[in-house]
Amino acid sequence: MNHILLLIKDIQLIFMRRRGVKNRVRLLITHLRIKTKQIFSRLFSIKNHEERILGFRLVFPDYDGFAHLWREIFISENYYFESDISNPHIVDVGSNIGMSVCFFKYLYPNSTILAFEPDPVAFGWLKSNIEVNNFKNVAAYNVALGAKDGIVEFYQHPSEAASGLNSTKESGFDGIKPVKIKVVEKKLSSFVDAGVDLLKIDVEGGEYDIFEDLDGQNKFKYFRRVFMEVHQGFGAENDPIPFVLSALERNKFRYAVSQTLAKHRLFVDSPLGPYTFMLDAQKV
Amino acid sequence: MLGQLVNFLEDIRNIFLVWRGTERCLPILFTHLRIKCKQILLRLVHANAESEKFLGIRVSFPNYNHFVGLWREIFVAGNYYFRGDTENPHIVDAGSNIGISICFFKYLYPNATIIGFEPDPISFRYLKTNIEANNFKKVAIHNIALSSKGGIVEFYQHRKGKASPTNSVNPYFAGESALVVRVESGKLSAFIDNNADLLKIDVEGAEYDIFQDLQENNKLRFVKRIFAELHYGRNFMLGDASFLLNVLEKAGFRYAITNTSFASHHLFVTDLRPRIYGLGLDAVRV
Repeated sequence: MNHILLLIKDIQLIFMRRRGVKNRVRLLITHLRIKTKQIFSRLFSIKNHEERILGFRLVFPDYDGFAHLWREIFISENYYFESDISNPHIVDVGSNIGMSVCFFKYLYPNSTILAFEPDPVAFGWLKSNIEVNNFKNVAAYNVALGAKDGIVEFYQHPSEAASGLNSTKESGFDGIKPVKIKVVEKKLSSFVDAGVDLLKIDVEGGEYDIFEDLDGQNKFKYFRRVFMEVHQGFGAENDPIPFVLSALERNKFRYAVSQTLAKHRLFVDSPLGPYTFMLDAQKV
Repeated sequence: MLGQLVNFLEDIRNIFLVWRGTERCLPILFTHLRIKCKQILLRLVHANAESEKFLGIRVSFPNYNHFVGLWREIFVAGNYYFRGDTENPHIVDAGSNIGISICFFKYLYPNATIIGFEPDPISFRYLKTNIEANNFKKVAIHNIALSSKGGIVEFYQHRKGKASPTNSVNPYFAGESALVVRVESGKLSAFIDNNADLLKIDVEGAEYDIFQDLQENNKLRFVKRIFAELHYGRNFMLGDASFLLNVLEKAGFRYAITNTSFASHHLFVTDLRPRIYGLGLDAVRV
């Protein structure tokens, strides 16, 4: 039931897009192909580390993880934006294996992209994907972004390589014991000195440190748009969500909570559970 | 067409997810199917119905689609479902509209004590009729707007569609050609002197005044749980969402954003006009 509903919703999403019949058909065929392949690779535990989509070649550790990112980024278009220039400057924080970089290059082939990924394993795939597709004007850094320069602890999923949960915060691992490693930490503010058309942040809880740094160094003036995931951890304490909102308010962004993964019914029994929501912001 | 199918399947899924394992699951499912069929039939013959009986409750309303919207939000999606510690929880319902929320609370907890507020004189008439028709006990309703000061305030009604849920003291909610009426207002703090198990707030922008009043008079300490619809958007005489969240934090609530109203990423990036956004909040005092 759930799978059918999701598939109908995906198809609805593909047809809601107003960008040409050819494009829609291409997306639909690719999506159906990926869905079929996903089912087969699950049924027969086939290891598949490569896929071609929309003229790109992507490599990844796991087909399920790839199919999930494909849905989020290419079907739901969580990072879609309209720019009046053909070469927007994009800062992509939390690039994982580079699906988002691929989407930005699909949207704006001439865009300039700064990509950050702290996880050494995910970074390896990210680098391969940039090289395989011969992306120009993309710089990738294997660093964690935070409130200071130095070394920081980083938590990896114990069994899933390049997991989307991997983070400098342990709080995202609900009931799983993560593997602890050390990675280089840098401040995003030292990379930003000119206009940025889009700042995308998906860092599983590290967003507060990044915001503190950008706010403290008065760098919000350079950003035109911010798309981010905001995380609330488990427990009675509120994460600094009002701080994120007030930083956007003070810096004259209009914003909207455009998606939330929390459900009222889930909070009836466990009102202190963790959740994530998506925040879109644009300077006015 | 595809959108309607998705909505329908989602409704069915919601009924199972919210009500699974309770004796209410099947009655709600069958009632939903009956209501949807009736809605489609009425639409086909361009007719309207102004009353409905469901789950032993009898309600009247100005328009069948208006009723179905509220039915889906409140009974199907279970937006106000909560688990009380007692059989007779005390519920404060700010923004009762025609009273479907009160019907829901009475359906959930027949012994609940409820105090309801509805500023719109037309909605209030339906609300009163619905409370009386069902012979609900321990329900008090007040035909006032909730504000931070009290006194007479202007209230904006949609020109089309009586008792609209988006009628508001804020002029931006009822559209450009809104009707202005003058209504009595009062402070919610004057009505909260004992523990409230649930405070439900859906007041189209007046939540800033209400929270300010409750904060100034230190009444949030009586409240265990809050379900609130927050609206934000500069240029619309609304405050900042961070202000409301800070009020809740200072009062010792842990909260979660459980609903985004009709916001979506696609709308946000393709339509750059400023607009009012809403978010549904679940808060619990810890």
